[in-house]
Amino acid sequence: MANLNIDSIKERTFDAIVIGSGMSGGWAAKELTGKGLKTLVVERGRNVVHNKDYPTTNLNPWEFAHGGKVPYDVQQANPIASRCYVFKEDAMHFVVKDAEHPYVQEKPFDWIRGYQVGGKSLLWARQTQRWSNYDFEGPARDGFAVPWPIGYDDLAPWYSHVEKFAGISGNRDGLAALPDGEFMPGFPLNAVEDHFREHLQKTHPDRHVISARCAHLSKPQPIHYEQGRVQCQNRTLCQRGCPFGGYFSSNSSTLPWAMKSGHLTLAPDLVVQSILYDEQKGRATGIRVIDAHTKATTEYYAPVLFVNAGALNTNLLLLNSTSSRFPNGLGNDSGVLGKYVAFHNYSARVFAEYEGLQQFTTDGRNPAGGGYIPRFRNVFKQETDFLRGYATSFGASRGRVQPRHGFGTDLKKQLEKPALSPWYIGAGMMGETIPKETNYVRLDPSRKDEWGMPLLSIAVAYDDNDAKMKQDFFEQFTEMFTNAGFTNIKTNDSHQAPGLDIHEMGGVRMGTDPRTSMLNKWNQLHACPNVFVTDGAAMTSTSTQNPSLTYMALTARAVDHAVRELTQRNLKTT
Amino acid sequence: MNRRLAVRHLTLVAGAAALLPGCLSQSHDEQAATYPLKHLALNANQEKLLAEVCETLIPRTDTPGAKDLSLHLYVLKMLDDCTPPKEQQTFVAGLGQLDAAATRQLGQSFGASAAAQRTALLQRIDEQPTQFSDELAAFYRAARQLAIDGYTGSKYFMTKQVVYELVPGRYDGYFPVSKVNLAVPHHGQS
Repeated sequence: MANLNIDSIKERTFDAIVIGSGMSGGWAAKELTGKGLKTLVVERGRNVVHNKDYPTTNLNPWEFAHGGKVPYDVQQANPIASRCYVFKEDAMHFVVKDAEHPYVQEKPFDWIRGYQVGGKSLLWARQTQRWSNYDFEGPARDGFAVPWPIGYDDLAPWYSHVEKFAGISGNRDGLAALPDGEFMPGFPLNAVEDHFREHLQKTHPDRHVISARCAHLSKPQPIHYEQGRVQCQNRTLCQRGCPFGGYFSSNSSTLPWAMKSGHLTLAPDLVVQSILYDEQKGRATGIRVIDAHTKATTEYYAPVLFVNAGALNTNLLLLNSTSSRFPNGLGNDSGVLGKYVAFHNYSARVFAEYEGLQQFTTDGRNPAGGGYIPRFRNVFKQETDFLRGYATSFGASRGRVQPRHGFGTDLKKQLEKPALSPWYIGAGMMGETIPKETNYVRLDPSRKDEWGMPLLSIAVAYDDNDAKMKQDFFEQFTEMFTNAGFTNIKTNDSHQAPGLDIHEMGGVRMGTDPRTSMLNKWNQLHACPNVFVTDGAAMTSTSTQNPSLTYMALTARAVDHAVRELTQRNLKTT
Repeated sequence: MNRRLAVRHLTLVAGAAALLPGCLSQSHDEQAATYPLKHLALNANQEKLLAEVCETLIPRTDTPGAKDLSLHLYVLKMLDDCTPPKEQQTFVAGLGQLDAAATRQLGQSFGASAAAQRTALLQRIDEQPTQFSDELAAFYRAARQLAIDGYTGSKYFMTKQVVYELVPGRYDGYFPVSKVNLAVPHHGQS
């Protein structure tokens, strides 16, 4: 019996455990197994195997039961998920349904989640930009949050490392505020996007329209073929999962790579209840998990743990990992765990039309989505009455004028021979929000979910800075669009709640001072250094870049450090 | 929804369409609609009437019409699954009033009227909706919109008229409008 137990514990002991299989968890798995560590990846959702589990990927529009629409009863049952742009008939099976995983909204917050192997990496918008020092130095310069413990130079080699493997398309634009990376050719701007780029060069030389940088294989390299991925085929049906592996996801890239190493054990359908802490050893020893179906609990052990549960779930897990040493959550000596949550403000858009360049249209589809305008406000110095600024997605396309009048032959003719519309132009704000103590998550004191986990209670809201920044975005783009000759300019305030941006960050922030931060410069918990947090929870501030690329780089860098520390036995003993 | 379900659904559509002519000898008012509906209370006669309305909007010409494409079944599916209950009830009520309106305006039921007369009646509802009941006008608007959606979203339309490409494999941001194939435009050329 005793021997059996020892064998059982041995079977449940790994060199490393990764909690979560999404964007950053997949990278932790790939890097850890690549260094020869026997790694367990636990995922609370079901398995999604590349190509095998993409049920809609090759469906034509007419093959969907409801033409792509979400049935009424599903919409009614899922008001939160229904507000997400990927919650359509082709991808709604990858989005968490409201009733299955409830949470508490102290203030309105649309928490969009993807509980499956690969997480939201299946669904992301695939935009990838590096941070620059103007981003990392923001909190210190402008006096908010805490200073970042790292700068661009610390992360640059790791950006390169992950970019080469993931496959990033983009141009070397040579911009100080948006460092160049390891690029495959960028997807080109179209005639009107170029027109606006050239116009801005003349009127605002510090404002740049560039090809959106994205995780698509425009010109795959041997490393991508080795992953079984080939060139992006411009389907722009990415949210269904891509049979070509044309865009980066954990499912198409890092996880199968880790599997191939022979060192990965992938365990889906396991909810992590808590991280186990050993008071004598002064370190975390493993995890307690609940089988998502049977509810049976088991423990797994490893000398090093990576927490990649997704920003807010990582907060929830640490808050729920209590011990007499850490009564307020693992590593939470400072009391900042769950606080200083921030996000990106996506609530503002400006639309316009353009009557010029009618001799051109587009052919095929652009997976990058068009252009990107890096932050131009308060980059080099403070110059407005609000802090920080916004990046902007910018795109132009022509639609179809397809009148639907009349009957019979007349009607059919109109439908069958649509005319081209003028160029439609859209700009979307991606605003930095300021992390504040009053924007927090915590455990609901009484309510629990089906697995006995406390519900996460979320109190995150916009502030005056966000309102001023939005006003500036409206004014600047209205002026720039007017001067570029665009017409019918309309500002649009979606009034959407935070969360729908799906860029929630923070709560377990990095910093140099253990009294005001949770993680050190290597993403280790100050107070429990064999636990690494490398997902969005680690973010000290948000800047304006789409965050995933930075999580990937932070993760690869942290694994490198963890393995060095393990080799030197620094993590094994206190 | 997985591919197998989609295929099953398409088979259902084809099956229901094939069943229609065979049912003509029975009492259609009592007989349930041939198409499996979860919410809509529709009898076989009403289903047939809807098919005639759709065919009036999009008739067979030298190209397929509503009946060829079973557009009324698409209308029913979208109403049954994707429409709020109140609009479903209005739709069924309006459909139920169509024959009475036809008798008033054309002297006989919608089904018994010639194609030109049917078109004339629908055109009147289209142009002067206030002369008809709210339900009938709402039924007409919904049927029209869904039938057209069904037509432009059909496999026929998306392979033969305005072609949808699942795998374009290209992007050109400076595609000359002069090169757009107006005979068979592609969805990608937008």
